[in-house]
Amino acid sequence: MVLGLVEGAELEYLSSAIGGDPLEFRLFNNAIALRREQAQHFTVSLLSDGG
Amino acid sequence: VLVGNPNSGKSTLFNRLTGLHQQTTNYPGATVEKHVGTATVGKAVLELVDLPGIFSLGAHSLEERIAVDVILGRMSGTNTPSGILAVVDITNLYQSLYLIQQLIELELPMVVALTMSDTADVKGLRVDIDALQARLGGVIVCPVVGTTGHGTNALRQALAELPGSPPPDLPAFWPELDQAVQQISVQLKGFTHRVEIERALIDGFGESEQYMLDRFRESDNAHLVEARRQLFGDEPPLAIEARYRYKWIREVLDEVQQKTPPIYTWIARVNAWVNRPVPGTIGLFAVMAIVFQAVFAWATPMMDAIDTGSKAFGNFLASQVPEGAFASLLSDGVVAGVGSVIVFLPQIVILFLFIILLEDSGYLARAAYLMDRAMRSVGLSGQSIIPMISSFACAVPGIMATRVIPNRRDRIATMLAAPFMTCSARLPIYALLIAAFVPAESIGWLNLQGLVLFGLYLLGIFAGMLTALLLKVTALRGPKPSFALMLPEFRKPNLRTVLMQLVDRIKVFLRRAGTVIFSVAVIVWALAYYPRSGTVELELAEQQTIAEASLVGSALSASLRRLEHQAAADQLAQSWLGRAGQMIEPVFKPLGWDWRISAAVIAGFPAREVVVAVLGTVYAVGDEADEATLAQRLKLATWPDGTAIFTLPMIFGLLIFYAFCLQCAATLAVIQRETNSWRWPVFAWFYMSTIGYLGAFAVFQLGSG
Repeated sequence: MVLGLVEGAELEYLSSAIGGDPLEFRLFNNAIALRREQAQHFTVSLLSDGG
Repeated sequence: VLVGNPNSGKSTLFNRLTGLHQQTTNYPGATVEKHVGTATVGKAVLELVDLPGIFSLGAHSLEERIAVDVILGRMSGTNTPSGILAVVDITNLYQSLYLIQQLIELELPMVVALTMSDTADVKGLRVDIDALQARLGGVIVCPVVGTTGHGTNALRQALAELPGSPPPDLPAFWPELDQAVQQISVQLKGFTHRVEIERALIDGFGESEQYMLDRFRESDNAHLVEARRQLFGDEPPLAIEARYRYKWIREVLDEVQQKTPPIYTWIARVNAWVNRPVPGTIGLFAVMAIVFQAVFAWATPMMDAIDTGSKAFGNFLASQVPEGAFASLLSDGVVAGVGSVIVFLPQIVILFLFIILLEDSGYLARAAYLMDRAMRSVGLSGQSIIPMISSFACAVPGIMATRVIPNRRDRIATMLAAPFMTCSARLPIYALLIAAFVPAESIGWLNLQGLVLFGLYLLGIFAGMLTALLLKVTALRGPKPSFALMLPEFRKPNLRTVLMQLVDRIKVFLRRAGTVIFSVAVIVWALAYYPRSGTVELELAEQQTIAEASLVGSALSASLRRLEHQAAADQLAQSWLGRAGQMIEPVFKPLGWDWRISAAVIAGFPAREVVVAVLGTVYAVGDEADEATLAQRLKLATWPDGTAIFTLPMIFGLLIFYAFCLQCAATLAVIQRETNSWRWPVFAWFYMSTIGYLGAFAVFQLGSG
């Protein structure tokens, strides 16, 4: 949360480590890594596919 | 004080501003390093303190607590700062402004340095500096490039004018919080800072609760609980704080930052490639292989040179002073002791160099990300991988590297697993025993000796992982830690910064390891030297006279040398160390060890690297013995009834004992310092010694039975 994952933040899914976990996202200009389990705590709405 | 996010270019800027006028010490009572330097602007001399990188003022990890204490002027030995230099990576305004906003609330004069301002165009960012200054309540914002020094003159000027200038205006982002803080401040008669009240309201739970309670009186707690209930209701306070702050940040960013199409560079392409799962993982293993190769292959010639040099120096010293206790102290105690520390220096330098390069380029975070899944199977996170890798050279820097792990339970589990990794001090005894007793044959294209060594490495890794797992399901059981990691972009490491950090770490290592191992060497020397036996010396003189009378030429000198060695061995047998070995022999007898091995093992408990030297003396080969002749002696060693001591089960037992046993006072000391308790080092010692003993016992008994 301190990293800025709050309501209204835009995320872009980038990649994952081997085995599909943890996941890497782009948040504003920066990459952050989250475990799949944690990523599931967030509610996201799709803004665009791929792009 | 310099404050900023990790990886914001803070240290590069600090080095740029202070040049060589800096020194590193430790904060009192903590192992977090304190960097202080001076910068001269015209006639003014400013003292700059570089703080550990932090994301917020919420004091969660040790480094954050120290940073907060220094900023608030609570750290003893450090003056209350007269101003803040906030360092912000221009490409990371989003997360940086979170900290900046909290810093503004400190009501201290502040300057913001926007680093990496040369990379903004590449990433497609335009930042309106004037608008940013206005939104931040009037702080001065200086764009700089730390690596080239561009923009630092303007920054120096701003810094010189900083002390005494007015603090920035508070941005209004959460009026309810302001009100609550005001109210509590009145109730507490204003004896704490508003930021502290804020943190007490928001962070006053869980692991930081005690820390917060220390700052407040018991009776004030009721006010805090009441205010907390009104402000947050049932929701987690930190989440609400983040929501309010980031709402403000997005407003600011919308106003000051425009996006332009990014320019693609080769570095961006490399970035994209290593981020893909499969090439990224292969790349990580390649990097680790190179680091290992470097630590073991490149360092060997240098280590041999140092070893030869220190032995020669010891002999030279011994020849310069009259024979006796003092000469022996100098050559066997002091020079051999210091030499045993210096000999590891090439490995440590190479390892540190790689770790600093990887850290500076932003690769370490990537490694933690890639290894997270594997480490999770033993209950740790990817952040534990770096301390583990460091421990293959030496567990001391490895344990120090656990500071990056924010979760206390994970951190302790990693510390206790790290000493199982095969450190470079275990290598000499492995090398000696393997060379002596494992035939140099090949199975297919695999060398048998190499295979045994590799097996010992695997054994260490396996035991370490198992230990972490056991701890995590028992004593260190806890809620799953959250894992959210910033993955910084790759960037070219700055040569100057890398070299400065390297020198810094080497100094710290030499100071720490030097004092411990040096004193151990002197103590072991004294135990092995005293008491001197008059009868042994008389006998030696007698035998020498007989030999001189009956032999001539090379036969005489060979005989004399043999006699001296015999006398040295006899002296050792009745020294304190020898007696201790004989006394403890029954304990180690079930492992197949005689009193000589027992004595060497006892001597090795403070520092395992002395074992080879002690074995060398007990098996009466004296100082000029190289390892090959010691190996031959070991093969010939027998029990009084004539059976060989060094049987295969006994040797494998001894190797296993070495793989497991925690024979290193420096490691125990560093665990004590890092956990700030004696509980963990004592536990680690008993735990590792027990499984070392049981392992050796099982192998010997099964093997000989």
